[in-house]
Amino acid sequence: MKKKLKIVILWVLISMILTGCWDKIEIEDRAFVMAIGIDLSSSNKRYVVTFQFPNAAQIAKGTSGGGGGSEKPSFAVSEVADTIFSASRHISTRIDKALYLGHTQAIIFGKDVVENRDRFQEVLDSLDRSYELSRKVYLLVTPQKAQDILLKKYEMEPNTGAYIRDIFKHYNRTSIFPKIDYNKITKSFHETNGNAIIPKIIAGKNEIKIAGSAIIKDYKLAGWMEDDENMGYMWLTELVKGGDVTITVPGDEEDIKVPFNISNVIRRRSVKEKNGKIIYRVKLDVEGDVTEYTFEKHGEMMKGDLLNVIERKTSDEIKKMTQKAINRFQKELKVDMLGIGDYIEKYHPSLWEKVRKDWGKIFPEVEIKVDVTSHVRRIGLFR
Amino acid sequence: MGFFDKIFGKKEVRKKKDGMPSSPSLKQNLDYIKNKLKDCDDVIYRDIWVGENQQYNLAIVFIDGLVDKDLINDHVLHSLLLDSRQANPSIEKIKGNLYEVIKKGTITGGDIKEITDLDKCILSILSGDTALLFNGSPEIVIISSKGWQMRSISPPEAETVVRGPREGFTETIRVNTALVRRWIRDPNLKVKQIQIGERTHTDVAVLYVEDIVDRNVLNKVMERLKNIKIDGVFESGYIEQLIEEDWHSPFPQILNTERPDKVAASLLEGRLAILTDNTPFALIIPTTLATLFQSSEDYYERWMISSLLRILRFLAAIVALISPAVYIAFTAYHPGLIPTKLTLYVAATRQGIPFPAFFEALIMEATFELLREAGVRLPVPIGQTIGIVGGLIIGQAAVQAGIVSPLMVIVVAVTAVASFAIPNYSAAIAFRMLRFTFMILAAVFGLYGIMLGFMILLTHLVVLKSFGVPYLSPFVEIDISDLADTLIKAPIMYFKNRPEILNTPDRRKMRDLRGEKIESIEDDRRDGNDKK
Repeated sequence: MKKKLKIVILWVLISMILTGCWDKIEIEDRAFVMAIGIDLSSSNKRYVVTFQFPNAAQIAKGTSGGGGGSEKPSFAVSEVADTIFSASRHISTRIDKALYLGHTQAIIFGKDVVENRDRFQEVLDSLDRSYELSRKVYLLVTPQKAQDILLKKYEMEPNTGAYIRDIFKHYNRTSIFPKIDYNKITKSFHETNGNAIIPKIIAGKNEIKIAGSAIIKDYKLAGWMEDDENMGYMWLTELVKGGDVTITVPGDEEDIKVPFNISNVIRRRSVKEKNGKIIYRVKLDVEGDVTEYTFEKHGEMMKGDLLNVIERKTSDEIKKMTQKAINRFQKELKVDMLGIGDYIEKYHPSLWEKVRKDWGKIFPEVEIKVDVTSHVRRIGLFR
Repeated sequence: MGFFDKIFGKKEVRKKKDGMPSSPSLKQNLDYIKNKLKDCDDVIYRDIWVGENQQYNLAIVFIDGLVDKDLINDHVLHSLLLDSRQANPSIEKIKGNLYEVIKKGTITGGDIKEITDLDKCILSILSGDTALLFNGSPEIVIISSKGWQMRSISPPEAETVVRGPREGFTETIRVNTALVRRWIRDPNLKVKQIQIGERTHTDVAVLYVEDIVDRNVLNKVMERLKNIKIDGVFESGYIEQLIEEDWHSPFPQILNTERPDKVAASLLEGRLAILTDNTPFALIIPTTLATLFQSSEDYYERWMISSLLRILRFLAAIVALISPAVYIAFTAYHPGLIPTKLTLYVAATRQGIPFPAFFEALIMEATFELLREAGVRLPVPIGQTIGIVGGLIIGQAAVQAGIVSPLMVIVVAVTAVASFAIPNYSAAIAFRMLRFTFMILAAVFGLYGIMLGFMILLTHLVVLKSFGVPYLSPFVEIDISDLADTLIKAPIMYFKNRPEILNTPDRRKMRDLRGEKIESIEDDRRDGNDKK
């Protein structure tokens, strides 16, 4: 009995001395970094890292109904350092709290970072090793300086990280930017050896906008994708099942603009090898609603003719968008971001064995055929 | 079982004193009793002369206050002194035979017995019986005349229910056994009574249904009861602590209840009950963790709501056990595990709080325990005041003063409410106590500590046994039919057999004819319609 007791006491003491409390930081002593901005200094050698975190005291005042409008709702602090890690250490000499990255929502790269291959790879490695960062963080690229975006306070939501996260929540309203988080981007980097699509962010005077995306080829910015390309790209890769397309239908005098609200996209793919050429076929079945037409002519919608016109035009429009994206990736950049190699590897392994070695050369020669069929499922409500 | 060895194991069982045999001489007997009960001024001695010529000398001895005086007057004194004259037997019959005549022909009291041991006689007198001594014969007639002031049957205060009987046990063992008998009119319901306590001689009754109970458990209980050598037994808690298996454990291994219906239902399940004189709390053996979460109302209400309440109670136990600990662990170690908005809110409300989360929680929990303890001790009207002062004023003031965060007050309040949702008070205490252990573990190790605590707790529970029945059964040995009455309470049709773990000789509890009967009614109706 006594021996047992001794062992228990010893065990408790050892575990208390050897483990406990070393990483204990009370919640109010932490600064919950919501967004991180990474830029390069003017010499392109050092990093300018900006941390943005909310002012917890201000939140408490807001909840208890007090005033306190004079206090800042959030802070942003920049630090210049040789590495990202040292930046996060050096910054602790200037703020009274411990930085905590577990709740970080967004990391914004300045254009200069993604334009410099070595620097960008350093940054990616630093993010990959951070044990606090969540894999659900959104990565974004801005053509401006990331610092400029984070140092501003936006009236709509002073907490920029939360602002960005909330915009990502309704990405499928427009489909003009991909909902790609850190997890998907690193996966893409690993699988395609340095190629990825990263959403683009720009800041206005009092708001931010996420639209389009940056194409990274071989760890370096290769170009920007505009809205149309983006949508085409996302449908081809099944990143989104929504979005809206505007088509024009001939009216009495002028053309009528009709919004087609996509509710579902079904993608079917096949690959054939013919005379040494690979034919990649994508079939998109698009379903959606027509939510607006023109006044007092709802009846026409019930007729098959008009619906056929709308469906055909929608298909054409979508095909055009996908074609844009294909041209961009296949002809201009010669990067397989459309997942064709991946598809062949998974479903036609014998073919992949043949083409794997020089897939980079074969990919631009692949014949990509896109068939789009649209179906109007609902013609909208009216009262 | 070092504990048992310490208490029971010693072989020096005290040599039982042989009782003092009574002598034919009334004077001698009376002298012995008077000597023994010297300076006991509440003992009443009454000399009586009966017979045609008042030639026969008798005496009755009883204790004032313990006896029903009406009974003594009407059925002893009246019978002896007056009624006997109206039907006086022939002198030949009386001659040398007075004792028989009086015992069988005169005394009209219902419950009498005869003894020839003066020590036993004194014990009976002390228990509230009346002793009738004769001059000329050594036999003493003991007339059961217990009749002291007692509390009437009232609702059980610690275990109130909405639906179910309202009567609870009282402090008198005879009333309590009768209450159980009223539920089970089965000759197999046995009431084995023994006296425990070398000075108190407290009546303790072991109740069981003979063809249901597991003999091993019964034998073990009887053996342990008989081995108790203690001067006095007050409250069934004494017996509980003296016969339980593991006194290290914070968990009660014997269930206590003041509800006769619960005792009766437990008896029919194959458990046995111990009733103790002078307390309304009965003990039920064996007990498992699952039974601590059962309320008798579960069986009276329909199964759906009962099942929901069962799940709620288990959740309440977990909340009562770990919620302050989880708060500490999350705020001090793992802010990344809370949703972002909540994290910011918690961080915001804790701005400027001078204590770490652990001390904050400790202060609030200790305050709550203090209030509860003070509330129990104080008289009812002041108790409410304490509730208001403590709960409202201290809570509100502490938050406004910025000593504790509002979230902590919520956590403490939820924990307090949850701990009262556990039907069994002793079990609730166990969970409340362990809560502090978990808080310390969380403060030192974070969530890792909570997991460690759970593992240790689980290990303990798995090893723990209550009279040979594993405490965690039926979770440890998976038996589907027993699981029907644990986390949920299955519909009553699923209770066809008694619990497997209790190892009852008679397994069958119910023969389900429900389905057939309902169908047959429908058939009858259909037939009737056809005829029309």
